[in-house]
Amino acid sequence: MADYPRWLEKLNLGCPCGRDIPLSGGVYLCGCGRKAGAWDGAKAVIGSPIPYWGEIPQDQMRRLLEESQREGWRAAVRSLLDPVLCEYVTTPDRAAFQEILPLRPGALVLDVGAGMGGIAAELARNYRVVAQEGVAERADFIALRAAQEGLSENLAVVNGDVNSVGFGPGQFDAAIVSGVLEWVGLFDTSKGVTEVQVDFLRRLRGFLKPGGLIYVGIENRIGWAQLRGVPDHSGIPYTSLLPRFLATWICRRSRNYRSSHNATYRTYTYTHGGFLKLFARAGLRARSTHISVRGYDYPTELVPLVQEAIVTYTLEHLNQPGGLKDRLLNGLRLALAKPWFWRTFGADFVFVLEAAGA
Amino acid sequence: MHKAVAAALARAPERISLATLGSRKGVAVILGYPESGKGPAWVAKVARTPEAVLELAKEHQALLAIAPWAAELGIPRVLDWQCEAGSACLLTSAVPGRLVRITFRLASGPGGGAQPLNTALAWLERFRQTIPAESCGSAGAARESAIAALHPLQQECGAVAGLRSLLESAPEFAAAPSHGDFWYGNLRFEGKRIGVFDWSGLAARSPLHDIFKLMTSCCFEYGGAVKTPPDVAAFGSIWFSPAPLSRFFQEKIRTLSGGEAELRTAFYHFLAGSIRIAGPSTRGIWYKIASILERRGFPPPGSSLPAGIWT
Repeated sequence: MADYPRWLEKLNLGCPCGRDIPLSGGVYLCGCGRKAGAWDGAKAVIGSPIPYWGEIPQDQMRRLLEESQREGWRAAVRSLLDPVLCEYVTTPDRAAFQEILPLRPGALVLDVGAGMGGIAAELARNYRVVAQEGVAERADFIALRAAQEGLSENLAVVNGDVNSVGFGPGQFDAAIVSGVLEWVGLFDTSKGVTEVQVDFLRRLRGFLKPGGLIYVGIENRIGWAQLRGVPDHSGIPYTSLLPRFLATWICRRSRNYRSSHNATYRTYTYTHGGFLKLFARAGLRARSTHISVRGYDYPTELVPLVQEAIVTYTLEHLNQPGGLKDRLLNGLRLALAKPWFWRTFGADFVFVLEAAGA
Repeated sequence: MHKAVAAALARAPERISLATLGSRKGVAVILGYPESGKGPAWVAKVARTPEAVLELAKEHQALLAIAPWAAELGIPRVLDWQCEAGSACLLTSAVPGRLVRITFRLASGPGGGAQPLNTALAWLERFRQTIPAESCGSAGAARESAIAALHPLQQECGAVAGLRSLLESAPEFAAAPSHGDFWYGNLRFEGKRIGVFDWSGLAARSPLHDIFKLMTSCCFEYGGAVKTPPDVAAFGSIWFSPAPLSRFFQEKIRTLSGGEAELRTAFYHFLAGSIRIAGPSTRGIWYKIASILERRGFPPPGSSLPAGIWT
């Protein structure tokens, strides 16, 4: 049985009875007798794992796990995944946002919905990280990856549903929510999507120490990618641009609708103003806002909504001034290098949030 | 966030917005924009791998060596340097000005591209006159390490072996301070003044090295498109054809070289350096250029070669 990092013992889960349940020993038991979960040798399992879903089919994921154990995770990823997915899983760029996140070395970070561990593993080189992941196979992959990279001292994996893993209050310096907020509505259909998202953010806020931060990477509802017809989370282009009832109506009738959880549109994104309102309802405010030009999945080029920064970035990324079309396009880009335009139509947002009273 | 960046934010009298510009050779670049300022107040480079830390340490050393002339030459000043346990951060002042793409039409004379090119060449001249070559290290050591670095690349391209033996047998010439990666992307123009950054390649080399780099890295417009360097046909056309633009370039080069032998040696040192520092996406192009020139016996730039060999 692999050991867990000692610092994990200092973390608590919250029990509905109001007591704290320390994440120590093999079984997480509350004084009231409730069993919250157990350490299975590689990860802490809290509640029931969610049904499998992910970038690859379940049997391919299982093969990936077997081969990762035999050949090492990097070799397995290279041999079993297509090059785009391989890059997505292995690149350190997915955690490039850490350069703007004001955290002290050794801070305790919660990576929510950690997927294949790309962000968690990279952050674990500088911080102590709890990677929360609902799918058992993906959680196993993160644990294996951490062990093979020698990161187990800094990375603990918690396998549990994003809406039900309840940590005790005031424990984390930061929570990472990259490509997660838009999906949480699918995993709790008991209430409206916005209410689920607000509750989710409010719970995360509760996990934070005073002064703690939440990092959110997410698409702009009316971003230029969406306007160009890039498929929305529904699998169908333009649904984010429509009124919600119309998007729901289309999703109910479309064979391309990609959610198997329900038949309504529940992957809400918002405009810049819409996000700020959502955060305010959860008792949070934006400490900084950036446009992630390569998308929130690759946050290597983060431009703040500041005139000078936008102009500088635009100047450095103009087309080579060849024909008339390029010159016109360059002129247009420079004319639109304004905070209001980027805030309204920028591709993906990266928010660093803090408690509204901080 | 690196603690040197956090400290810079804490020291600032006003709110600073951070922008990240991606990473190069594992070094992340972060710009700090003050609320009231025009342009960034400082630039932080953060390295988190051993190779990137070494690269950043080289730049730090270079900036310290030329610090006395920083203000005069538009070179960034070191504001902070922290290096420990596998990570490093170099915080410098930003250089003012804007990026200018230096563009030429291959088929015609120098045109509008001549002005920024002349400004950059004038800066290089001032740089060479101001900074003593000794402050940039030993020229012999720089030459030997550049030649040795070609060795592992011989397996990938046979022409590299020929290039290596050519440089090993070449006579030595007087060295001058050289930036090492003097392309337009590392320059910022503000009127007739320019600022220059990215100093990790500072060494004593032929005075022609930076000029070859600058001219080869300009944008070349032909056939209705602008070719981003390196481009095989553009390279051949600017250095080995009698076109008006080539003559303009070659005249500028010849005024600075001590003769044909020095010109040839400096040119192939530049080619070797380009191969060595090229990334995976451009190395193949440099191999192709080296192979074409090897077949022609590594002629000096300015020789006239048939245009067809470059396509």
